[in-house]
Amino acid sequence: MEQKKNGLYFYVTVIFSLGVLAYSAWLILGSVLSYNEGQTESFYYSLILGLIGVALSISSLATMRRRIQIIKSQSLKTLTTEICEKCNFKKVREFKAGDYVNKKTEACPQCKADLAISMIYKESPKE
Amino acid sequence: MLDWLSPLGITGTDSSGLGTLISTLMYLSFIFFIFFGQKIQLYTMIWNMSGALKKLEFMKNEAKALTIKTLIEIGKPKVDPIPRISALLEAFFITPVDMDPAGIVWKLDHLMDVRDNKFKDDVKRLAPEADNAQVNNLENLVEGSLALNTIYRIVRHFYLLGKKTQSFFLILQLQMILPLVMQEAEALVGATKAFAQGQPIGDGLGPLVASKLMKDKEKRKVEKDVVVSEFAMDGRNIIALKAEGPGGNVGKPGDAIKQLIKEREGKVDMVIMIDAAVKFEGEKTGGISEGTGAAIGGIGTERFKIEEEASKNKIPVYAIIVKESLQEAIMPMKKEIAESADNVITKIKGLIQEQTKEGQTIIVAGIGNTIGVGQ
Repeated sequence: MEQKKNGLYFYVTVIFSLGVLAYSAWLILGSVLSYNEGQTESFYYSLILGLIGVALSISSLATMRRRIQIIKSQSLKTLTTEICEKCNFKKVREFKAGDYVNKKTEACPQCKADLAISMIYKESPKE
Repeated sequence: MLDWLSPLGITGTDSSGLGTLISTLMYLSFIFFIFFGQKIQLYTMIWNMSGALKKLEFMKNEAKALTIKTLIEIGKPKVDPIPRISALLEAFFITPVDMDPAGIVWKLDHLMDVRDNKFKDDVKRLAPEADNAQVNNLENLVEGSLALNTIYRIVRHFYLLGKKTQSFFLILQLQMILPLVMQEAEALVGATKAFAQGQPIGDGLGPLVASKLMKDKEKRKVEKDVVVSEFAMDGRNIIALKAEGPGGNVGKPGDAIKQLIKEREGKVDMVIMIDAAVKFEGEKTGGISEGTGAAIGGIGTERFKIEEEASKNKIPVYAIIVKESLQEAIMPMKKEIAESADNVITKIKGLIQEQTKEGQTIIVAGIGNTIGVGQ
């Protein structure tokens, strides 16, 4: 429920920021037109408002991007690798509480020797 | 639009009026910033810091909640553990006087032993159902929460002091180190999660290498929480040692190495120490470097013992380190670090073949926290 709420908040913020960015770009375009028509007052207003809008929306989008990266890094799984010393059978699965390196887990499905945990690590984020 | 400025001679009908307004505002803002620039900067920094402090408070509360939850789940305490945990999170350690430094190492070592034993006893009392490995993990978890609580209290102290005194330089100093403090706090949050589940952390690289070397070989326990295995490799006698796992533990490798050298009346030909070491920014995580000297962190007592015993018996001490950041060292072990263990073993074999002869005795010490790494 909380995750859904956060997802909705994220989409609303991104859509709002993109809306502000588009409106700001339109204001800057309008300011250029005003300048060509000699309307100095309108030119200054539109330009200043447009630039403030662009800065705010870019800042908001950059913050959202940083948050996505943090959330992605937090959601990385810890993996456990089990290996059979006899036939080199390898199994990678999600970490379970109680796992530790060198722990004998179960019989190897290929040769029935013992499978032992050889590595426990946190998966790397995709580049 | 600018009619209200007409008494000042500024009219909105021509562009020169607007120009005058803008230049007047520029002058005013320039004068304003001369007088109030530093104050504005101070308030901006205080505002930033209050955000960071809220984040730190959230982190330390989260760590405390995780500690309580894990203690209740694993230890099944008979009484409410919250008041005792709250007291443990405020625990402190007074280092010995260093005005006369002679003999300070042994005093520090003794005081650290007292602290560690008391901490472990307190955790044992809080978690009567936990086994030894779980008690060690819980102890690490409480230590992680304690570190977060201490960071929060120190940052809050300087924040409030700076706010109270309106001291720009007090706030500035805190502001300068805040990104590093936040990085460490975030890493500690990761560490508490790893400790709660018993996952290996980056610092466990040394014990991981030693455990690979001593796998399926006979082991015995030596000085405080250290396991040793003796075997032959390439015609040499290898004595591999690591802290006893899989519970979170660093043991006392200094005492263990001292004992092993004494047992052999100084007839040890080489000591190789394997540890995780802090990399420089820009360096690759999991990179391996070779060097000389005792590779062991901490407050220095264990290093002192190894250096003293090695120099007394003229034993060369070599170090193989795996590079990782300070944050990576206390967070769950990364794949690059775990995979470097086999390359470290290759380096150990190379070093042994280059520097020793057949029949000689070599101690290989895997240094670090052995959480999640058995033997």
